[in-house]
Amino acid sequence: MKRLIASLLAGSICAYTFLGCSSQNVSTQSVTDSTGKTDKVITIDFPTTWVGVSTSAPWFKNREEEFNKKYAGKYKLDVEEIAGDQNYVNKIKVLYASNSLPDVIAAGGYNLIDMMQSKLVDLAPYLMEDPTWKAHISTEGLQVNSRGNKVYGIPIDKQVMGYFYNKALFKKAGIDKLANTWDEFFLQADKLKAAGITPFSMDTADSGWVTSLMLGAMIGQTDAGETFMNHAQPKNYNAPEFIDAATNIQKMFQNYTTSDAVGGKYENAASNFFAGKTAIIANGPWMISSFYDTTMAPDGFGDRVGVAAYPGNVMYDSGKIGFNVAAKTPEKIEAAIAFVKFMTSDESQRINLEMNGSIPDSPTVTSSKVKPLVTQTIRLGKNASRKINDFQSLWYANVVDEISVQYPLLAEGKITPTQFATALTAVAAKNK
Amino acid sequence: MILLKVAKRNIVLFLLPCLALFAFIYLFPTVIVFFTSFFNWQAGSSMTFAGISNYLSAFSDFSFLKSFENTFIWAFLQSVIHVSIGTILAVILSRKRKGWKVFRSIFMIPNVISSAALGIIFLNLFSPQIGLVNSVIGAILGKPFQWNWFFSDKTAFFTVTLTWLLYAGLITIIMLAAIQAVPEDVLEAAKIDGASQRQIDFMITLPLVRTSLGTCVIIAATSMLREFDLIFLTTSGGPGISTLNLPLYIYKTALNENNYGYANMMGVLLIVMGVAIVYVINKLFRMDETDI
Repeated sequence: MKRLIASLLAGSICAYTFLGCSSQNVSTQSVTDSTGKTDKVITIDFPTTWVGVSTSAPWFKNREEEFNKKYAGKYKLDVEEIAGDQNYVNKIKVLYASNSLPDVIAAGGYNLIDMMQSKLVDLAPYLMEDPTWKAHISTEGLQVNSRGNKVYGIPIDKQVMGYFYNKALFKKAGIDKLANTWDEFFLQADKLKAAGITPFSMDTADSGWVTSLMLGAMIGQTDAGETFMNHAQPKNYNAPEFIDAATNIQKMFQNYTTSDAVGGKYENAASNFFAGKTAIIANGPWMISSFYDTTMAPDGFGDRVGVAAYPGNVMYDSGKIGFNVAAKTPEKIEAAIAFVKFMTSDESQRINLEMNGSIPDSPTVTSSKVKPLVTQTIRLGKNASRKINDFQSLWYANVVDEISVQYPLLAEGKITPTQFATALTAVAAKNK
Repeated sequence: MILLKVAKRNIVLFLLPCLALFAFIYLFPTVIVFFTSFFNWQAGSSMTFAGISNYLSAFSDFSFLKSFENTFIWAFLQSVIHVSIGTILAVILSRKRKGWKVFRSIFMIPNVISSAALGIIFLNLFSPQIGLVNSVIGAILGKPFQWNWFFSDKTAFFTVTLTWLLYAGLITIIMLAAIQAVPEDVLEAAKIDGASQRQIDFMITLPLVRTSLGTCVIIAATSMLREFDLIFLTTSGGPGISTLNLPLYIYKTALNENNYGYANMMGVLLIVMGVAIVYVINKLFRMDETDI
């Protein structure tokens, strides 16, 4: 008896072990309606970062509920929550390597198309079938998401960014108009310093987003620089415009920013701006809602903030990588496309604009329920003399990562701007 | 004889789940890592046999050499300093002075805090703007002190090392248990022979707990071969590559450069390094011999 129990126990443990290793593929469920007819509910696997403390979480929750309501009994969204853009990108890369990409991917502007093309669904035929849908996608949005004649992504928003400045601090420093050139920009920085105000919020960690926007804007002030900033996956950073910009970034780190900028994350840079410790921060319109959030910024802070184009009338204004479809079966592809259409619809883009300040990709989406700073950002983008794309969308991932570890050396003067450029070039060369 | 056969069969049966798990989770993936280290394997392109070219490339890859060096140095420091601190604390606690149980618990606190929390704590502690360390130094100097400990080339390695070097709670617990297991009659005999407490601690007790000490050194050294969280959360291997170690470099190569073949090659070298370290420590501490 004891031997029998022992054998059964051992066998059960083995069985449970192997059962636990099997993948659960609950992609369809049966739903029986009142007439007794059974339909299959197709589940759409969608991992997302629009959860938790993400500013887009309320918008996404709204969209998820509406989608599930609209397609009740037909499609159901299976959301996997992933905190942080970089964690999301890493997870998708691992899933790609193991040939188990989810049905729909939204990488927040990160370019995964070039790496994963072979596993993504070409959406061009579906756009041809639905000209109304195609008409709502901007030319630059379609361009950024296309490779040759194939379309691998549908954008929901576009990248329009200038820099924000604290009007009250500018007034205190005696600055009454915005800089038209970078020389004027740095003269204003000197004025701010003289008034006891730290000019710039900067960071180096996690790709040094805020700092790198400044870097890119400086590069993009010439014809060659504008071309560089709109070129996908550059391999050579030893360009004069890049080195000149890096020289200015080094100057900014050494003279014009807070002591926690080197090693600091975006949150440090943002906190310093909200607290009135710095006068200028480079970032996108999604930050605008935070200016009015009293848990993050003082009451009335939003009214003290202005938005400006970079000197030389340079603006980040580009299409953005959107939703990709990686579903494998025809019914899953159909379901995924229905979801993508829903998420990129004019209504979704309008709600995204109103809730998050995200500039819609569709040229037909407008709203009167947006903060003035959002409207100003859109106008600045339209009127910019030079329009550039951001580094995170275009540069190699290892270069974006390398920037974070090279910035501290640049800031400390351990490397020259030329050496900084050379380091990035060496890392870019590792990509085949 | 039949009973022996049945007992053996039951042993095998009960070991089977564990062996199966080990095979699926460790053995097969290790074999795959070893196998693919001889291939050029990058995301978006097919795998092609590359022979030992990945291994040869490593020796001209400055980042690899630096990460290897950093990993080795940390393993050495952890084995020597970290274990020494833990052992000395264990010897002190073994005397069971007043409050020894409380101190034993306090020393364990850093070991039970998650790496994510520890990383944030240390980043704030050494923050150039609001850090306690700079505040204390500033108070001593009588003027503001804003050194960027984690992100200055001069102090980054030292600061990252501090995040784990001093917190030897686990070593203390293991060594304390070993010290307390030393037979009392041996210690009594030493006292009768006129040995001082220090002589007893260092010439009798410690040699008798040699195998436990060796185990602690193995734990300490191999923990450095796996250290990732704290470096990733603080400096991410920077400034430059001054705090880059092998696990982090493997991660960056696999996930930023999408170069799985090269990353797996480094994984193999890391495994070889680990096996070599454990072998050397086993020999040094004569782990297969007992004194009692």
